[in-house]
Amino acid sequence: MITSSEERSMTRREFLIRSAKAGACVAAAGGLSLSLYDSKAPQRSQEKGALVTLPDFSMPARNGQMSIVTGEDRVKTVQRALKTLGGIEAFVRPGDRVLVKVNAAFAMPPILSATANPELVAEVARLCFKAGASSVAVTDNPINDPASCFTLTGIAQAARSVGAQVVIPRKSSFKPTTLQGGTLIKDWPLFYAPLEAVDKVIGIAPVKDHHRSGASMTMKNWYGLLGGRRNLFHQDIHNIIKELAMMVSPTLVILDGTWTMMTNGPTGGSLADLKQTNTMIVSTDQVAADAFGATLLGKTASDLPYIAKAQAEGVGQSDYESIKPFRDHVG
Amino acid sequence: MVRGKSPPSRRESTVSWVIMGTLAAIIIGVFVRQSHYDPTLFVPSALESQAPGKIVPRSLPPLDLGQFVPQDMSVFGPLESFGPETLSDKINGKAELYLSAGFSNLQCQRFASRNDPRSWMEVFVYDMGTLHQAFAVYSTQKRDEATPLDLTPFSYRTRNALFWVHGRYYVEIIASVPSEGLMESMVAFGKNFVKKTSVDAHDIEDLALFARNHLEEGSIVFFVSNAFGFSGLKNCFTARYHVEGEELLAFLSKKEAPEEAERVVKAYHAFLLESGGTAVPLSTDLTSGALVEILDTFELIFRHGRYVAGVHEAPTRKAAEKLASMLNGHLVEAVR
Amino acid sequence: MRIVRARQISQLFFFLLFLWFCVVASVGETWWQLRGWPINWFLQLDPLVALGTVLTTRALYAGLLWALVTVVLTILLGRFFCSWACPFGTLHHFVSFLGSRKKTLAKKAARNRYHRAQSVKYVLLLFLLGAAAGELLAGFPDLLGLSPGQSWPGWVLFIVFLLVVLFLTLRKVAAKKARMAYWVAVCVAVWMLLAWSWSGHSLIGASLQTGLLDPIPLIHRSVNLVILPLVDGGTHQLAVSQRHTQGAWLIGAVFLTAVLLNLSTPRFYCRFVCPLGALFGILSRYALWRVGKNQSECSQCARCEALCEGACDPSAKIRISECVLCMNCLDTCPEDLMGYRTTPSELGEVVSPDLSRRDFVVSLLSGVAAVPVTRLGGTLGANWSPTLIRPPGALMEEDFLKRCIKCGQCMRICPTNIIHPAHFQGGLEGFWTPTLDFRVGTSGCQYNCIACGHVCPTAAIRPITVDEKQGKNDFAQAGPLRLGTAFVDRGRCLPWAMDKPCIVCQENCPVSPKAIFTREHFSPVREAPFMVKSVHGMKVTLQGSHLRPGAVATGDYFCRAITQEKNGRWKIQENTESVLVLSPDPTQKGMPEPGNNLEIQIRLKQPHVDLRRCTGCGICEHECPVSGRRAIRVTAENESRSKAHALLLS
Repeated sequence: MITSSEERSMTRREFLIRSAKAGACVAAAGGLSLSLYDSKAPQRSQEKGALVTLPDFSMPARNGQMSIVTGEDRVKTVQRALKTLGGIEAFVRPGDRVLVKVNAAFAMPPILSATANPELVAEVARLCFKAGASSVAVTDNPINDPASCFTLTGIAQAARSVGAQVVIPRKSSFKPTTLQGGTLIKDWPLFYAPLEAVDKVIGIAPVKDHHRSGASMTMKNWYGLLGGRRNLFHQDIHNIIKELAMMVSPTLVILDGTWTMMTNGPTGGSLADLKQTNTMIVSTDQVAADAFGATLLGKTASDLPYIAKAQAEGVGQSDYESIKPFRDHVG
Repeated sequence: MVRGKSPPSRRESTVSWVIMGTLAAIIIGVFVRQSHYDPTLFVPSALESQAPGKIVPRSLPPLDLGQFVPQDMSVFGPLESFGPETLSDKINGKAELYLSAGFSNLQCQRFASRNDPRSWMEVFVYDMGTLHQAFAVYSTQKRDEATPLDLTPFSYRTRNALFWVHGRYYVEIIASVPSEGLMESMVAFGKNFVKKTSVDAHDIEDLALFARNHLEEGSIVFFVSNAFGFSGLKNCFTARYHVEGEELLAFLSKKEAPEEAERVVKAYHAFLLESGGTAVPLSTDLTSGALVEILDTFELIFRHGRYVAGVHEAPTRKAAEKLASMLNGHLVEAVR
Repeated sequence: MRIVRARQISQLFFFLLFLWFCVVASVGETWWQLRGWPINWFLQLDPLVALGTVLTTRALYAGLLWALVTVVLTILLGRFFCSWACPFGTLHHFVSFLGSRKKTLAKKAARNRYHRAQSVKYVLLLFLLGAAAGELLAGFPDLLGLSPGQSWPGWVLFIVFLLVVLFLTLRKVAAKKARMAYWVAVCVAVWMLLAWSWSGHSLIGASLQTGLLDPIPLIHRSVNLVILPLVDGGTHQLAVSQRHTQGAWLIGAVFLTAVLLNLSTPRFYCRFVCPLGALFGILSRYALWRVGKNQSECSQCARCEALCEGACDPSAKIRISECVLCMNCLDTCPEDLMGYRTTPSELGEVVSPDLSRRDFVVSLLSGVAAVPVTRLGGTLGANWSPTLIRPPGALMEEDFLKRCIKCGQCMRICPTNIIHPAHFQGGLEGFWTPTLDFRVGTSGCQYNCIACGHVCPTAAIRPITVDEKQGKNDFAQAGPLRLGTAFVDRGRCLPWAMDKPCIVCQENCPVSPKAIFTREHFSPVREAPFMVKSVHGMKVTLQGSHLRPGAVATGDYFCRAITQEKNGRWKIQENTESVLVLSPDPTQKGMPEPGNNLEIQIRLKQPHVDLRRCTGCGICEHECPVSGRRAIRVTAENESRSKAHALLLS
């Protein structure tokens, strides 16, 4: 059969149009399939829990204050530092329920400074009670087994000796949360139970080298409020620290640089990893506190990307000199 | 059918055979697939009796750490075990350091003194797979105030802790208080461990390739990958030297073949130039060498046989060249 | 090689492969058992399974990605699956061939002529997809930010936009297109109105019912649950004992009807019923290659019509959506006029299914509406059926119905044969979905078996681990997976109702510590108390008793003097018609004395269920000696998958 060239070109045109449509269908099917692809089965299905969000625990009138006190004795330095900021009474009002978020990540002895110092924790709790706090709770969601972490670090005994209670995480303590403006903290389990009914939050962290993020100080300390498979976040450590700092607005942070873990952090392990730096920082600005803390590690704020990131989100001021910290020495 | 049909066209035949081929491929695929399955679906999990959620890789049978403990100590906590997936549950951010060096398994346990329960120690036994990898994590973490021990060729102590490499194992013992009594128990534990744990290799021969003169004792470090931020420099030793009143870092890496060594030298050289370095002519007789000035320091790299060696971040050109000739001289001797 | 021969080999190949996958679907590691055989491969290749679950869950579960292969090939080549790969199609093909033998050419051609009713399958497809898509359609305004409660500008903007589009469309274009635009606008408006009034409606939901008619689940179900148990009933090669299927007759009847209808009309199921074929028909619209004539005139010998599998009128205007690419017309045309080419048939072709717009809307909306209608009965809420016990790892009922395709793989794999197709326990929607029956089968749900979740192609039953099932290690806090709870029927239980000792359920409970525990209870036997005539040593002679010798000597019987309860009970060792021999017991104080009224008691261990430990595995129910309606029965209360059915607070 002979077809005219016109017919042939008509046929070709029809075929091309048809190919284009078929191609579009294939692309649509492929795109849709791959975008909806789900290699995992659904988890144990349950009614979805409501998301929670953290209230702001900071005191707006006292934003951007910092005190740096040098000295060997943590009790004296922290007392002095608080005093220069107006005393703990300026932050804890009678009847307040206070949560002290310590770093109790590892079941290691206190001399290794991998965790918050028990004497310091006890002193802060004592001061809170003295200011009229109705309750003081000490908490963390540690890396290692919680009970042994609190015991072996000496924090449990120290807290109880002054009447503070220790809150150990249970499965029911976690509620999903999503950070407004965050990309990582999305429907993620938050250690919410201890935060649920408190008025003030104080963070206490030692200054430590950190293999992954460069340094672990007050902002990294909030990591202990996350649950779930949080070590996934190590892949994006600076952004998660930034988001943690955005999520938690504490009343105060206390950065303990009396002994600094210079190397092999965050676990350390040897006294040889430590250096006596004799500095106590109390601040209402966690970014400023960490920026100053970096200098104890022989670093600068620019060595720690999360500091700039947190500042860009308006969490605080990395140029700590600009907030005119009080400086003093005791001992 | 009553009609005599013409034989199938070539195209029809080809298509038919292609389809037959597809069917054959499917059957092969199905057969391959059927042999890959998870046998635990058919029998109850064999690992049920182990500690919660921690799965020990099948590399080695678990060690009974209790057997190494001296008389005056008793078990203070359960034996914990961590694999690559769970390592960060124990050591958090430091896991990366071990994982990148080929970590396979960690077992740890606490033991306390029978006399004073506040004196306790935690033993971490990292199974790193090979002696080299164990040495890598040992050497990169080595503390400055280390006191060498004669436990194994690679061992030292600090005031409260003990560290050593024994074959594929890197072991840390950390004490809750710095005390001599506890340290004695820790060393006793170490001796028992070394005596009772059999391993394939004890010493790393490559360390002898570094010239002894001016070498700082115990300063040799091993990088499994990514030495000096350059991904092409794998399995690389570094050592500190004191030459001409300067502190210098020499490096050495063994390759499979001279060609590969040559390739690495070229790649590293290119990497340095790309990173802002400028090539500087060499004044020594290192034929295969190259010198680059970068950020006010000098980087010298050369090859001998299948070895890539060099000097890293030397403050002066003279020192770099002197150390390089020394290294080369020793290397020529040692390899011969 | 001729293409038709290639097709026959392909059909035989896939049919045998399918049968092999049915045969090997039993738990075990030998070569003819499960191992790693991809027994779900046909279900995964089935795009109706994939599309259905995507509509209900908005996710494509793992292996279902295979369907993409079928979809892409169909878009490019046409409905190849039906007569090259589909095992059900192959069966129809073969039976139709048998039924058409010895018929005249004209008769054959008449049987294979296109029939208007072939569009019924599109109606069925749309109905089933409508049922699956209800939730998605009703939820669509949410995605646009148009649901009530959200800010109103969204609504206003959207309506203005619609009006603008409508106006622009109406202004210039031909009447036909204008009508269409008008029609689209009305549809969208109606849909939005419905969606608006329905969003938040508790009965609107997604129900996956494609599996009822989808040929791949249908043939899996029929072969696995009816054919194999029948065949193996004689050989016992695959299972040690006879496998049973509840309501097998209906599955068998549907299968047989579908197969036998081929004798009256070839490929009846494929042409009139098959929703998968309908989906392929729609997908093949733009196929690059298609069967057609390369010359408009031909001798009209009707040989092609006589052999046409799809009834797609190859000699006239060919219907692309009906053509199943059997290639018979290419092979049989004496003039070699038929081809499979990129150009359309010279005589023209009909590319779309024979379905009016009204049919389309009506079928789709009926499907959407059918779900709330079936759910009016409340089976997902207050009226849930406790007799519907889902396999371990099953999702909560609403999510389960979004995924289950009733293929019966879980029923086939279950080593104890306790998973059966449900009838109406779970409402109409749950028809033929898996439910557990502990009377049929060889035991209860095995403590360390997780086979069903691992063969479920759509994860309606999740692939759980043994740890999760038993609540160990990582799952210690969640506890073991509970299928339901065992309840003792005190009106039927032997120790509770009949004074007969029995601890079978307690003995068989596999949970550690056991979920069934017993409490001791002494119950007087029916005979009136006997007067003690005399006592000699341990022998007590009774007055006027007619005991069967040995009847109370089983060790479960005791006696005690009615007025001297504080003396305690004596165990009976031996008895004759009137003499009891008591078992010496140093802890007892005084022997009965002549003149005492002696009561004979039986010691019973009455079973109780510990709610916290019972997993609902049903082994107790299976083993209960009350073999009709069991005296201990598992119902779905307290099943793990639903908080609403919990009995415990924590």
